[in-house]
Amino acid sequence: MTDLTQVLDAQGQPLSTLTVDHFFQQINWSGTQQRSARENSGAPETPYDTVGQFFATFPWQGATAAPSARRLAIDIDEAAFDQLLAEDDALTLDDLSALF
Amino acid sequence: MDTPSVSAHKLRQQHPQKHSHYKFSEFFQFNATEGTIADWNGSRNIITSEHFIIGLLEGLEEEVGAASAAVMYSIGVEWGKQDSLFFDQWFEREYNIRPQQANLMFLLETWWWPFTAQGWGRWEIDMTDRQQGFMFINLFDSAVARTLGDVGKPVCYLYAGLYAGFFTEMVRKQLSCIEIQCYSMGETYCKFLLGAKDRIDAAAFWLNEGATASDIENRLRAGYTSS
Repeated sequence: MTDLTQVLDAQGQPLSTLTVDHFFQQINWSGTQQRSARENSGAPETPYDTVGQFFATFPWQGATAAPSARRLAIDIDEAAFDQLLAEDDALTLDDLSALF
Repeated sequence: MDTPSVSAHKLRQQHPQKHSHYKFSEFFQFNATEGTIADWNGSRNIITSEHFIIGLLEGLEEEVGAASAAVMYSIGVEWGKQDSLFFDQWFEREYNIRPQQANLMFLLETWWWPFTAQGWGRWEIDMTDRQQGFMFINLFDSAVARTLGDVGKPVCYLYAGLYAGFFTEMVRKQLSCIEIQCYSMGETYCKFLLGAKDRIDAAAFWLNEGATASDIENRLRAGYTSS
């Protein structure tokens, strides 16, 4: 199976430089075209099955924002990251006030 | 820059429930006959050039010397306090919910969007360390730092004061803020530390001793709070 994050050129070779266009060309926007169906049809392998899968690979932090060491550790531990997101979602001003 | 105004925004009157209103032509209302610019929330805005920012900072420095940093910080604090009261009103009016009941991240993003539209830069809040009583704010495209360029020292005292004043009012606790990394020091973005006064004082001491933002983060996480 092709690496999900690898984008190939017309000759089937991995691209060294990716553009936004490349990413968007690879998205199966509707999500209805399943991988197995594509494989059977002989169509070229695309790296992303759904838009969600594509966005999950996106470097949201940006090139300039350096994540903290703790943030990096949390990124590695998926469960801790999910917990942090849930905590962030539930915070209110009163919670913030109690922390200071 | 914005100042309180009595000018009502006509587009907002027509679409009071519209929240995605930060497009330049929608957020600002230009009144050619009065020569005024009002924004969506009814604040009067003034468009200034980079020369104005340079003139303000250098003029102040010429008048009061090194104290200009403290003066700018104090101006920011007052601005932040006033703006928190103003924000309280327009947030509740627009979303029909009191700020205390709103989701925190949504609340803070909503507060900063007008600033972004006005050219004060984008921000990113890092609350990873909130349990330890401090948090970081990353600011991209600071209007002050971008104008002054690489001068080798932090220059965004106005922003630090703004954050200190705003958060002090919002959380009802006396908070301080310091810029520990600045675009004007050759960094790619500005970084502010917000917390109780003792922590900020310690960070100020370390910064004066030559510590980097990373050093300060590590010391705070290790629990050091005194200089």
